[in-house]
Amino acid sequence: MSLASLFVMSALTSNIVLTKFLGICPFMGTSGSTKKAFGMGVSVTLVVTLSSIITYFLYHYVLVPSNSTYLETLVFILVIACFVQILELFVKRFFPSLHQSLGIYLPLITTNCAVLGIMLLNISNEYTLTETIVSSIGSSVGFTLVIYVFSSIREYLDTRKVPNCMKGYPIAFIVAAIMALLCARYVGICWVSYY
Amino acid sequence: MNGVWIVTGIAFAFSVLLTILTALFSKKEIEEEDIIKHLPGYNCGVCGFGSCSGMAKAILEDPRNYEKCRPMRKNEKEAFQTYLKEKGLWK
Repeated sequence: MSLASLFVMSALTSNIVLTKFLGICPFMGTSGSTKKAFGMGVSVTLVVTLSSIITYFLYHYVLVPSNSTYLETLVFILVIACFVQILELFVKRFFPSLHQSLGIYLPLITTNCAVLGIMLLNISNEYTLTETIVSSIGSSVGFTLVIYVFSSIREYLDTRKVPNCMKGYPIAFIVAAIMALLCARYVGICWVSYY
Repeated sequence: MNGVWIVTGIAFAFSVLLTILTALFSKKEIEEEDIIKHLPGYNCGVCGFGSCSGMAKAILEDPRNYEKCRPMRKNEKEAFQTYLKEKGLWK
């Protein structure tokens, strides 16, 4: 598979949120406003890209030679937690308003299953270093794209008249379901790219 | 036993990295009292925050609030702004 089709595949065809259903917590939680959603997407992109490079080296040069690949989940969580802490330091120092609006969701990237899921999928698909970087950037760009579009729709819905029983999260979940249905249609792109 | 050493080693390396980065990037917390020293200290309340300590709290939240201080003269305000910039409060 070429790198371009790997990128498209991880961003759209097998989108981390809408087809693998990982990372739903920040997807629902931080999509209240587009600014917040974009900040969250960029934070996740940074954490995923950097920590996937580190986990690649740790897995292939520390865990495999010492025959202790059963530690991968624990070690990957350590790496992710470290990067989230570093990211929080930077955001707090240079973007205090974003830090305030993201609130608890920023440290919660540590336990965001999308991040750990991307790392574990990179390892189990036996990607090379370049493929690892491309697929992590693709997945997180897909995450950012989806969360941004979703938050724009939610902002628009706030200005519309919605039945009382549907206000807030119920209508948001319906929107998410329709988006997932639409995203399932992208499978065709990947099928074309194989041939 | 192997696993214990690996996880310990990795965790130790990351903790050292985090300690260094925290020392480099964390903002030095400024106390209210440091700011009160640089205010006129009349406790007049014209700014709308009640007293100089209320003003100091407001400055910690948004540094631009210092402009509401009436007794402070123009050149004093400029000096105060450079003081805030030095402390990294001004954005």
